[in-house]
Amino acid sequence: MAVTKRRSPIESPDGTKKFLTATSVIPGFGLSTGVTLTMLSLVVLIPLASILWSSSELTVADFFATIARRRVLMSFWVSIETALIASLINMVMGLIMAWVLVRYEFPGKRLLDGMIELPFALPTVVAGMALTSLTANTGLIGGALEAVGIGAPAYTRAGIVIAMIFVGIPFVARSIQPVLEKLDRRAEEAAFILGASPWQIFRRVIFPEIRPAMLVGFGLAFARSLGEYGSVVFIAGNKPFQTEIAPLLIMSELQEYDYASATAIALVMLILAFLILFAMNLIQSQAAKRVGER
Amino acid sequence: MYVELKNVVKTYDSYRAADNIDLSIEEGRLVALLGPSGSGKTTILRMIAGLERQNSGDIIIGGRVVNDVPGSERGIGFVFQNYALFRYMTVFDNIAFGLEIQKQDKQVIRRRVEELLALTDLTGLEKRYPNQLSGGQRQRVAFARAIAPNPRLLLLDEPFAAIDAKVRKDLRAWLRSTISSLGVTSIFVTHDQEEAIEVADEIVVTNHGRIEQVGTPMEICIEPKTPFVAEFIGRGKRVSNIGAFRGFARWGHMAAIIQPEFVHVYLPGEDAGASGDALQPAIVQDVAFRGANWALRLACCGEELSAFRSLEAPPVHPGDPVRLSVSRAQGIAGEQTEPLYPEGT
Ligand SMILES: Nc1ncnc2c1ncn2[C@@H]1O[C@H](COP(=O)(O)OP(=O)(O)OP(=O)(O)O)[C@@H](O)[C@H]1O
Ligand SMILES: [Mg+2]
Repeated sequence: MAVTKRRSPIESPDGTKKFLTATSVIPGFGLSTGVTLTMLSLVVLIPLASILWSSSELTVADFFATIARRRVLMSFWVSIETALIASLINMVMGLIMAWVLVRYEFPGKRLLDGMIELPFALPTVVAGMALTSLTANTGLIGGALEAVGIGAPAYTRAGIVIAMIFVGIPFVARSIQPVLEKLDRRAEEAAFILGASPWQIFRRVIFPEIRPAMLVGFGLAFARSLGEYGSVVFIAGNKPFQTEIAPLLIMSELQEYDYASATAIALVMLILAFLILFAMNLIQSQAAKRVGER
Repeated sequence: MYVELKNVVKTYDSYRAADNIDLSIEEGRLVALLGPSGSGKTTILRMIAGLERQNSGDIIIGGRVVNDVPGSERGIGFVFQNYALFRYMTVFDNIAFGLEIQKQDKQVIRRRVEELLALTDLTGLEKRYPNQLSGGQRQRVAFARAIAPNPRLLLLDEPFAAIDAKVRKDLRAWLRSTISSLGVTSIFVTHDQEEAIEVADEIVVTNHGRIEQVGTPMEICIEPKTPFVAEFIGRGKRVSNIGAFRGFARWGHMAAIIQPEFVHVYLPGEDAGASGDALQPAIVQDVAFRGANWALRLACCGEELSAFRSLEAPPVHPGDPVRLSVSRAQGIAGEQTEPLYPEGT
């Protein structure tokens, strides 16, 4: 015991001090870390902490009472269900979009490439309005679907899914695109010469390479869809128990000055978001380990 | 002839990457495609493999015209320059890939992979991923993967390019003996003449999308058929006026290439033996130590020559006046070359 105490900090067995100085290639590590931490606290951590803080005014019993209300539970279910469906669809569509953009040459490719970000750039309310007018029974697509007996998607969960697909697709396409671009075509040629069919090449050579990016894109799109408010608020119709999503319920609780309920719901959303982020980080680090990148 | 190319042309836009290639390769031979960068070596290899389609001409493998046969059905093994291993598969799965595609029996696959692991000295590494291997080990995995389905023809694009010099030497020897024990017809690409000379039974020299010469390493070295080959092989220097050298007067102003092996250098007073009276003066420009000998750069009759000097002979230094004789040159006449020997020998 006495021996450990007499060690100087430099010789400290955990080596933290050494690590910081030895790996800092870029000068000003201390300063930039400070700025990063400050920004992170101001922009992210403090607002989030305030949710926790206000929720701490809730008793555990209150919290569960709020959460267990049927309307609240249904809103979570609607949110999760629609976000899940939308993100699964996005995963496939995003893959196809990224594939087309990387592997084919066609006129207007640049334009299409640039337009993928449109859902990011557009105010979501505008997107919501546009999608609603398109998919309502008076709209172009909604009318057509109504005519063939399927029914207009607007003001149903299908409408919510459509809005979520719209806001989520750039995440998937943009996660997969750079990975596809970097892929070693020689590996595909090697598989081809060994007799693999295009499908076998995709499944056994390409898919393992893009799977982490697909899952990350899925996770980002899912998280975004869960929290999406602006574009969904019009198209959803907001019928309690049917098309009312959790963020909308938070809004309506706030409008009724029921801060406690709003906070409780918000807390659940926060936990969900953290779980998704955690899962994605796990996926990424596992994939990186496999191919020796860090 | 196991592999034949007849009048094969491949153009990229208007550039002729392969310009009327005619080539025949006998069964069981180990052939090197040797040429400078951009001379079309990879293009030829990829066309044989079916990874690239020629614009015109025929490719024949094993007596069958394969122009319309996809690369996957040509019975070929291909080793890529960067190995192109499947990063998400273990060594075992990489090697087993071709056999699994053929839906072979699990036991058969296991036995074959184990056999190849032993052959490539990779036993014990089968559970590793490619990123956990050294360059030489990756190279051998790529090799094992390519030969696992027993191809009739093995194509290797710069198989040693990405490996450091020491390992490269060992790997060359290993590849040569392994390929000859397998007896598989093989074509490998290289731009390293030493490698081609050491490893190949036969060398195909390419330049600007054309074949300059085909021959055994010995033929290519001793009897270069074209000016390009004469200059590309060896460390020879081109002189514009061979007639200026003693014994070569009757060829007048002919251009020629003189290899360092055929330039003999003597210090003043050093015994020159039989070639005593054929000597002429020269000045040492530069001396470089080459491990096994000294490489000299010499100025003689307004031309520049290179020569080797034994480590046992008295050393020479830049600026020293010396005497030299030339025992052989490769004269250049248009697109042809001919060996020239000094008169009186
Ligand atoms: N896909 C392509 N598109 C256009 N030009 C190409 C393409 N592939 C090769 N070329 C051109 O064809 C010529 C021959 O290329 P090739 O790759 O066969 O050369 P190489 O002999 O293998 O050279 P290196 O030793 O550098 O690998 C080069 O001039 C190259 O620029
Ligand atoms: Mg090449």
